[in-house]
Amino acid sequence: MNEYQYDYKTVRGFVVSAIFWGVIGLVAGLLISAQMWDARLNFGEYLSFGRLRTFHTNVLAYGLGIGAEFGLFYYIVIRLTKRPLVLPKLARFHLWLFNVGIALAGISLLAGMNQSLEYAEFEWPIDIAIVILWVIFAINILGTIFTRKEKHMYVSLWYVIATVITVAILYIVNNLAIPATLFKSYHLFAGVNSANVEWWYGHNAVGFLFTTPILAMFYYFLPKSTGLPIFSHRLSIISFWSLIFAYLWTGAHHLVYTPLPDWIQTLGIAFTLFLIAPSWGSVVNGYFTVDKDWSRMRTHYLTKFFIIGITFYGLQTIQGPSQGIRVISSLIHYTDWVPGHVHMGTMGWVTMVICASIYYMLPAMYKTQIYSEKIANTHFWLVLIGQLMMSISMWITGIQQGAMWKMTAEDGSLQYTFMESLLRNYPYWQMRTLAGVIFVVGMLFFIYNVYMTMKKGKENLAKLQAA
Amino acid sequence: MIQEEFDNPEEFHREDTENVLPLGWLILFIGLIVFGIYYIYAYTPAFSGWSQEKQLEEVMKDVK
Repeated sequence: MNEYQYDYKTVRGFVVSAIFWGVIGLVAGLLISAQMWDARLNFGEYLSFGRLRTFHTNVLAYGLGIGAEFGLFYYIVIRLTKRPLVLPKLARFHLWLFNVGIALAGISLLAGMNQSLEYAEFEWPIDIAIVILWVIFAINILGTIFTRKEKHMYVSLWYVIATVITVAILYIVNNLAIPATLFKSYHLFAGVNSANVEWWYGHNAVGFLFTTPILAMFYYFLPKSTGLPIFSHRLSIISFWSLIFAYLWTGAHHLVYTPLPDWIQTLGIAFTLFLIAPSWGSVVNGYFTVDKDWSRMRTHYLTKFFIIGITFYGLQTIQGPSQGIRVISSLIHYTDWVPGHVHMGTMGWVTMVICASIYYMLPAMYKTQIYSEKIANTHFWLVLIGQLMMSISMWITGIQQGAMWKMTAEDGSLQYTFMESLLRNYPYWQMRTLAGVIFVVGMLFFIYNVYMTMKKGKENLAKLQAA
Repeated sequence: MIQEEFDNPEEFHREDTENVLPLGWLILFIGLIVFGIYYIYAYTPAFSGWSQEKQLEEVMKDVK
């Protein structure tokens, strides 16, 4: 036992903020998915597809994803280092700045301020704010780890450190730009160099915002919630270092068959294929961990969240490297296959594990139980069905698009016009909207469960304090 | 007063298999490194003469 109390207020603040931005980002996602098949749903320039699409991506990635990661990292780090944050007040300021930042960033995108770099759309004043935000976060996280009371570094801490350091490097380098006005700047790199730096950033943003932080959660919350210790410490550490080593070389697989020099493309593809090994190291570790008692998939509601989540991570890390191979890239690149791939990762892996982590963490902080396991199970099945419908419909239509674009007639001319391939998308795009609705309903069950658990938890804490 | 409970390292570490690397995974790991070296050799213009321009010429020959 110990002499102090963990301060979980900031953690809870981030969870609530992440959920708030999550709702906004999901609603935007539903709207743009419907705009794809009904252009009348574009309401003026501010809510037109072009602006809302970047808004959807950024608000969910930075608002829901990173917001939840900030909160869950603060929790994991203080637990694993057995000490409070070095600067708890700075963390409160971080929470405040985060919400103001996401609000301003979202508005700037709707106002049409855009660097035209994918996943790095924010203009330079927002970039500076984000760097300040990240430094504040880094000081607290790294400072706490450096002064830890528990000597042993569990693998989750390594993933936390990798996230904090790599995101900073990626973000600063790719956002180097020469400001022209307050809301307009030009990328420091030009032409092929700009594309290469952008995709070095773009791919690793996925790696270090959607992979390493989620693995930190997975390795921490799987043992905590199931009571089953991780199968192999060595496997987890070797997977970590080989993942970190290989990831940063892979960005060029986004630029296959482009003017980017052949050797850079080839190097990117080779490292991308290698990534299957460290990714599957974590997948296998998860499976062997639960292998000790598979009945927990039935009896313990969170086990299936984590195991299905890591399964989609496994599928994602087979599909992703396959897409890097030249012959496959030439078929599916620039088609709807790619958003299908991204959504399997974000809806099947990232959101699944984040929600499960919150389900474990909230009752643990309030020293109570989850409000309703039944609602959590309903949430699980709805998001699973919604995600599968969305991914699969996008894969089918993506292959169809790619095949139609490439098909040539006897005389060597193109068989289909672009419009013909576009029209064939409509049924799949409508299916995607339906899939989105199912997913969002699932998330509403999650939010209700979180709300009721927090309400119950507050009463419980008040009772415990009075006793 | 509420007592805070710490995480116990034993919750995370399974002693009997702590240092195991599954054989199938190890084969995958080493296999992908070997394949990567071959792949870089085979598709780098300076090593094997392959280039995307040459590949395009080959494909266009078949079309005609």
